[in-house]
Amino acid sequence: MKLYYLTDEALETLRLNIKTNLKYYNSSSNDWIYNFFDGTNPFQEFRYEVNRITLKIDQNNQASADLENIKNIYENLKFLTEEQACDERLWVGLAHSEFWEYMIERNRHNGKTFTESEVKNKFFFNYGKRKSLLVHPIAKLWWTGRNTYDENRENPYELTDFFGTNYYHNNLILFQYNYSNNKNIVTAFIEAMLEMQNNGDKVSTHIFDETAKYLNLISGIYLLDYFEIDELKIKILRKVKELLLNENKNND
Amino acid sequence: MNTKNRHFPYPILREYSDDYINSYFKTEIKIKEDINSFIFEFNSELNDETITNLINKEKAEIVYQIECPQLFFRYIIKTRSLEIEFAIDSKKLNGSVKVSSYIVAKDDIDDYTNINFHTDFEDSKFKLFRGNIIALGNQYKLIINKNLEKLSQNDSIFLIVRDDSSERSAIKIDTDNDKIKIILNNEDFKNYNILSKRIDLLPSMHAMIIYPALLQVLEKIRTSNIQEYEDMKWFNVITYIINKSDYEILEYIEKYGTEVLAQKLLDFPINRALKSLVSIGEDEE
Repeated sequence: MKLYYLTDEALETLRLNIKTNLKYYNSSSNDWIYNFFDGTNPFQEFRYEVNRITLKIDQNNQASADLENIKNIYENLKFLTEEQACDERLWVGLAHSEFWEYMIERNRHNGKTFTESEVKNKFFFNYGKRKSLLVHPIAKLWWTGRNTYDENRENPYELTDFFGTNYYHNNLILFQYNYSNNKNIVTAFIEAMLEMQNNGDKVSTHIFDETAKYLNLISGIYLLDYFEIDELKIKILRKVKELLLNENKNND
Repeated sequence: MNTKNRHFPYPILREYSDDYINSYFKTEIKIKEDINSFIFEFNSELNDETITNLINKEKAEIVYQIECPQLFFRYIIKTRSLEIEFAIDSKKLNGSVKVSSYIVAKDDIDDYTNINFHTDFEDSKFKLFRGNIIALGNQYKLIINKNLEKLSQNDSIFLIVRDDSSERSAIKIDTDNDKIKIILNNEDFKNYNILSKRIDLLPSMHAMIIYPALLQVLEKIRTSNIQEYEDMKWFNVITYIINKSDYEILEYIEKYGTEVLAQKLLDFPINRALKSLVSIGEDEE
């Protein structure tokens, strides 16, 4: 499969004319794009060709489908550098070409049509450079893969599997903090969460959020990057257990 | 991590704080570009005997942190040496980069005290844990931009796009993304497309369209908070060019004015346009 990205001009022109083109963002075909640009191809071919990537939609279990999609996208596009992978032209280009049908079906709720602001938020980068990589429906799949993939594990997607539940929320919460730029810190965090889950403890949204917040708090007096993964994991587990205890007390 | 206004539960040696008297920890950073990497040169000065002894006894270390949030990159370099050079793959850095320096406890330190503590902490002892920050050096924020090009040779920071919504709307400028968008209505865009294919008319295009746009942008910079634009590629290209003259952008605008700056950045577009039109006229004769 060829990869296509939008030219700068095409990207900005599409962004500018969302209102005019709104009706087309609810159609199954992207042929309108070529007509909109008067027959000129708004896409440029990326120099690499990859295996065909099919993204899954499962209305009954989208969480599981998203997990598969993360692995599918990252496994096939692992060769991208971070610089290439933060380029809006690539992801918006793919959303308007190869993954057009996925975008339309994935985001269509109960037969409703897209509003102008939904198109702006879902098809384009509308949340700032960094947050958009965690929110854009295609870009976030790659970046979650990149942030959790570990080739040194027997299952290199072991940490990715943690995002099988509550993906959107957990992805956004964890990676909003600057400390998540250090992959060792992310590894320690997710390993701690997985250990609790494997022990039969439920890691609620509250516990996840508070632990992420806790790490940010202690980063004021500790240089988190200084710790080995296991050292940091012990600190995180201590906090998670404390939160779990409080949660269980409140539930009694 | 921005540390200037943070409060700590024990004294930390840092600028803008009187936790310590007569001590300092400063770092100077230089960056050189190599073929595939950026070379960071760190040169630190530490003026505190107790902390120096901790480092020499391997109970503390100097740590440099390089962070590029846009590319989810963060890396640390640990050392006991006050001078060190380190290379980072250039693919890992682009846009805004923060560089911080720390002195960190390598092991737990019982009863940490220092003769340079402020009198408020005189005779106080603190338990420090491995990983605790003992000193904070300067923080640097820099912008790394690759493939910077001169404005007059390649209008790569400008993008001319069409707005289908109204046939007779006025030209608009949008500075919210990496390129400065010049938005034309349908008719103007069609005509621009026809004329821009003629190389002899390019100077006139610069004068009529790019120059007024750039002037408006510089006026915006002059009257707004420039931090709004620091992450934008177009802003960093303009700043990079001006910095070659040893001026900061606002200093240059203050001294010479926005109209002079706009003309210099575009290599005197009015002059070039007039010359090219005269030349076209002569050819037609």
